[in-house]
Amino acid sequence: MPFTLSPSKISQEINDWNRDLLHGLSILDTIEEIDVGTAAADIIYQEDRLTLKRYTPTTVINANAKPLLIVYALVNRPYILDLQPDRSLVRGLLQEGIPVYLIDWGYVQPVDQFVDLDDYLTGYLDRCVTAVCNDSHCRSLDLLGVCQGGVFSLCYTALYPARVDHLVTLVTPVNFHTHDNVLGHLARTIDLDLMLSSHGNMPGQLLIDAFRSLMPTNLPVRKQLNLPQQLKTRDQALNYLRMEKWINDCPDLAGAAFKQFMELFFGQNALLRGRFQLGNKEIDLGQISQPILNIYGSKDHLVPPEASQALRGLTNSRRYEEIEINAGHIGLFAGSRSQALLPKKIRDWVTT
Amino acid sequence: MKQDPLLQLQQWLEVQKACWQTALQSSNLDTSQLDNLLSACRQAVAAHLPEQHADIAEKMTLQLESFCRYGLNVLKILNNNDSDALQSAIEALSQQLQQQVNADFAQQWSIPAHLLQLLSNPQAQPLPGFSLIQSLFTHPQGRSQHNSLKLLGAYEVFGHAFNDHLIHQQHIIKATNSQLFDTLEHDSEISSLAQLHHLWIDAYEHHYSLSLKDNDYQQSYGQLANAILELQRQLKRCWEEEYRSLGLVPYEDYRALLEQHHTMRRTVRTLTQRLDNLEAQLNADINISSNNSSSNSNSNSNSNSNSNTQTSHPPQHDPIS
Repeated sequence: MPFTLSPSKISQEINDWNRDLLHGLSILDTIEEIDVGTAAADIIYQEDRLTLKRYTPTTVINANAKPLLIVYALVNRPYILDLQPDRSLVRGLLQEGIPVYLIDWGYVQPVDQFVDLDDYLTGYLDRCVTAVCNDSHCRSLDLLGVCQGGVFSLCYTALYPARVDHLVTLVTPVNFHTHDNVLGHLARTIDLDLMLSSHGNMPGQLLIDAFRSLMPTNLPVRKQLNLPQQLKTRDQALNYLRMEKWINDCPDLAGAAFKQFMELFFGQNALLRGRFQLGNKEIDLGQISQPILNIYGSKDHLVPPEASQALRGLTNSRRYEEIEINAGHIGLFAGSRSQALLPKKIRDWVTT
Repeated sequence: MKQDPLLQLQQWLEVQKACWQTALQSSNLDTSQLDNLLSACRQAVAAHLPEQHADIAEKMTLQLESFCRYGLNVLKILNNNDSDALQSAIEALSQQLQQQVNADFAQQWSIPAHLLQLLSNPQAQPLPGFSLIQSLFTHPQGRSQHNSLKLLGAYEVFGHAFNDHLIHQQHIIKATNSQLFDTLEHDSEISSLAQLHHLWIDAYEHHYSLSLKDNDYQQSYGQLANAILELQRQLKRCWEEEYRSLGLVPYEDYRALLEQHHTMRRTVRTLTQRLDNLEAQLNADINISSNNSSSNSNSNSNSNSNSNTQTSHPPQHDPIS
């Protein structure tokens, strides 16, 4: 029988564990504030809940670089791209001489429940593009879309091709029906009308719980059990707390836009058709001739590689390249390996 | 004066050590002192730490409590020289961890506490009736019997979906325990509680992920989610009726107003943008004609600085065009 637990071993283990926990609590006691998104920036445009930021350059601007507008997802908050100084895609891009702008969609309110995808794409996003162009005295810019923001960027470029020079998609789902997209399978079983008539907007907390429900014991049990190990030093604790703050900071999603997104992409897998109707506009991915750099993570369980790779061949891009990074969905832009790799790759792509 | 919670926790650690010493020598443990002190510590820590850490501290101390209790359980089993020690330890662990998973599940879907109790009980019986819903049905007291019937119907659907989902959950737990027994008997040597926890979690996640990919499980998940949403909607409808009877604005009316408001805002934005575009176009035309007349009058001049400035701004375009 390989069960070699003995009373003295158990006693020792629990004492050790409790001592670590006590130490962890004393470290927590020294932390007043969890600072995130600290790269210097100015707000150049505001509308309803959204703010458009222009980051302060940290080096000489690359003469070949156009302004790069980062379009983040509506899910979670964009400060994951500047979580802390040594885990910041934004700072990495600035260091490469790219003028960086970012849309922060803000926190949706009950009054926003009828805001739909058309409002986001031809309204908010288009006005942000105009504001960036005005600010940088350019006629067009480069787009960097992250996850759902990548879907928005693809649709926007198809609608207004003259306004976009280069397109970079990061962990962007294109095929929503891959066999390993478990979240998609579950999402399709939910009655959206019922959901929205109960809640108005899609509650952010429900989304957090839906992500957690993909690994129901890993997060609540294993993570908590290992927690004292994450709090050994103040720096370690801050690393952990910043990520925790981000994970649990998920705004509600505007009801109408959420429903449209679910029906069009999760339901009809519209991007894969290449041409589809959004409100009264037709989106034709064939209109995209811009160079596209498509970056995804080999360990991404939310947007599996196959879901991103589906973009190949759907557009008329004159230069299309894929980069697979050995990382998960978040690790791809917050992990140390990507920090060294991504900004340079993106710089090379948008400046040639 | 309030005592420093960390000092209290230090005391708790000492008491615990003493408690463990007793536990090592006896199978009859009194953990009441330990429980009381831990409860006091938890409250003190939550009150002392900044609000943003209170949740983490709470989770950590709860996990600690759970881990300690499990340790004591295993210790009792070992001290009793139980011949089925392994099986008993795993069953106890499984039950404890399943309770945590269920609590998370219930929180996700806002399942009421008394239903959570059923979730935690592996021998769960078909759902008993809610007294509130029954009273709504049998004694409408001015409420619409139609709404009460709908609520009762939603509750019944929820009950079926819930029981169906329980069967899936129990299947996962059974497969998890079975895999854990196999692993322990053939491959692994367990020398710590944490190792046992991690093995259980690995086995559970494996069987859970298999279920997630299974069409039956997905359908059951959807049925339960939709049944909960329907139940919430019917409960809301009952409240709506109460609001109306009190002369308050019900949610449905508020929602209709929001929709009208949104449509109006969109129209105003579109019209404003069109006006801006027309104005820009008009200004551009005026500039062109004034440039033409100035170039006509100064045909030898080659200055065009105005038009350069103009092109530095992007053209506006009509988003609805």
